[in-house]
Amino acid sequence: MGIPKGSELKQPGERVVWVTGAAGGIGSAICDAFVAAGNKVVATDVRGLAPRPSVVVLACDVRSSASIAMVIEKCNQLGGVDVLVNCAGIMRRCDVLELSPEIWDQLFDVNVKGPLLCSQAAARSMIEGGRAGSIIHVGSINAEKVFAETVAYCCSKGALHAMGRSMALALAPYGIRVDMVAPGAIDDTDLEPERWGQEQMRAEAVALTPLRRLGKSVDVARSVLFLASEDARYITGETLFIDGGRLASV
Amino acid sequence: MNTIETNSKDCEARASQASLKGRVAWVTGGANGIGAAIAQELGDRGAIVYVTDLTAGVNVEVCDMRDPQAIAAFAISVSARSGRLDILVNNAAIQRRRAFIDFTEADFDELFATNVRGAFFAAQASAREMISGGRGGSIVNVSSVNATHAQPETTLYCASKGSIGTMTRALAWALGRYSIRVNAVSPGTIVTNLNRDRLADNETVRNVVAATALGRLGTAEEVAPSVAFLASDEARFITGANLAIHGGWTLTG
Repeated sequence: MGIPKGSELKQPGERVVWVTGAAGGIGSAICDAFVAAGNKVVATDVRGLAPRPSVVVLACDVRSSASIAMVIEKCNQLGGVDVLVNCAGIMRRCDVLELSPEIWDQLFDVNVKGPLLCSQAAARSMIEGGRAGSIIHVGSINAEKVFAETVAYCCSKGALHAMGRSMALALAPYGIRVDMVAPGAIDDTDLEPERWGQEQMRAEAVALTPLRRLGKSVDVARSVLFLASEDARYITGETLFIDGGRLASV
Repeated sequence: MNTIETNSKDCEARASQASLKGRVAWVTGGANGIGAAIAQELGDRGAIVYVTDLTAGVNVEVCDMRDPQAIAAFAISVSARSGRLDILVNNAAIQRRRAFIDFTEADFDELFATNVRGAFFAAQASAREMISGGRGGSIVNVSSVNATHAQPETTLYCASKGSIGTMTRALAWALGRYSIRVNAVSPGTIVTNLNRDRLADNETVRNVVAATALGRLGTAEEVAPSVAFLASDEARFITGANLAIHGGWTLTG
């Protein structure tokens, strides 16, 4: 149902899953979750990736079309990409009056343009191969709940969420669903380890969170797995917040 | 679905699906439609499921959501019978279609009594059992796309579902300290055994389908897994959230 003629939905164990930003805490947990569910996982990162059991690891700069093309080629050797998880992202903290075009561009290149280029490449491959698929963007609570000193990051995640909703409309005719997960305060990411190492920062985040604790990367991974699964086959263009209730708060 | 199936394909297909083994769930309005599909899904995943509705049926007990005393008594009786209550699915709801100026006070009272007041007191009664059990819990409110995207002639229903959305967020704060999570699902137009005839070949429906990215209406079986996911430990850092299940409807309009 909802899948165009000619498309065949693979069994979960036969799916090829590409995860960008796989060296990070959340990306790594997402790879683990898909491997545990029996998928073939292609893990990429601009940073070096250590070899992992049952995972193809590749270097990929999501800002580079040539780099992306190499990943698509690898995925094709495995049967073609069925699921793309856009997890690569960076954070820069800076007073808005000091925010330079260079910092702005760095953030938007990785956090917005990267997911666009990867999604285009993955979607083209899915469409050419007649495969229904799923694209998940790892957004952020900061698309909605913002901080003064992270203007560019917040804007980039807002853009990613809007891009995902728009992409959901554009790709639905091909049987490709596009959804977002939006993590709140996750204590084992590597986005800003020096900050999360500070007891005061953690306490402030907990105070904003109805569940009174920080989340774990694995919590995000479980939601990604759900959204990519057939259990979510009537869900597209949706954002699932994994934030301990932060969005629901003042 | 069979949870002890050992066929490897089936294991893979269910690999992302959380087990609810040992959990005790209460599904209101579960005799038919979306509620029945949710009860089936929770049961398939190993939960002991208590189903209530306005009239009794096979595996369906009576609980009138307009009656807070009956609601409180039912929550207590679940605890008494199974020793715990882990999951509440607030699904019971009614619909009234009229032109706005024709709605009566009786329409208002009846719709809000079930859709909002009943859900509130079911959450309260269930939370009491969950708190005394000390194991936390999960409440899933079945809201609607109409909580945020209105349609004509269903003004009261839209308002009631808007209230459910706000209640979900408020209860997330109120119950977070007890590790009780409160979330909502917001289905779009869902075909069930209750509305199949009404939805057949109808202009409104054709317009909805045309505005839906996935190009079709949903089914109750496509709502139920999202409820099961939110009810499970897979969603243990998710509270106060709303999960829309609408096939991409409302993204543009």
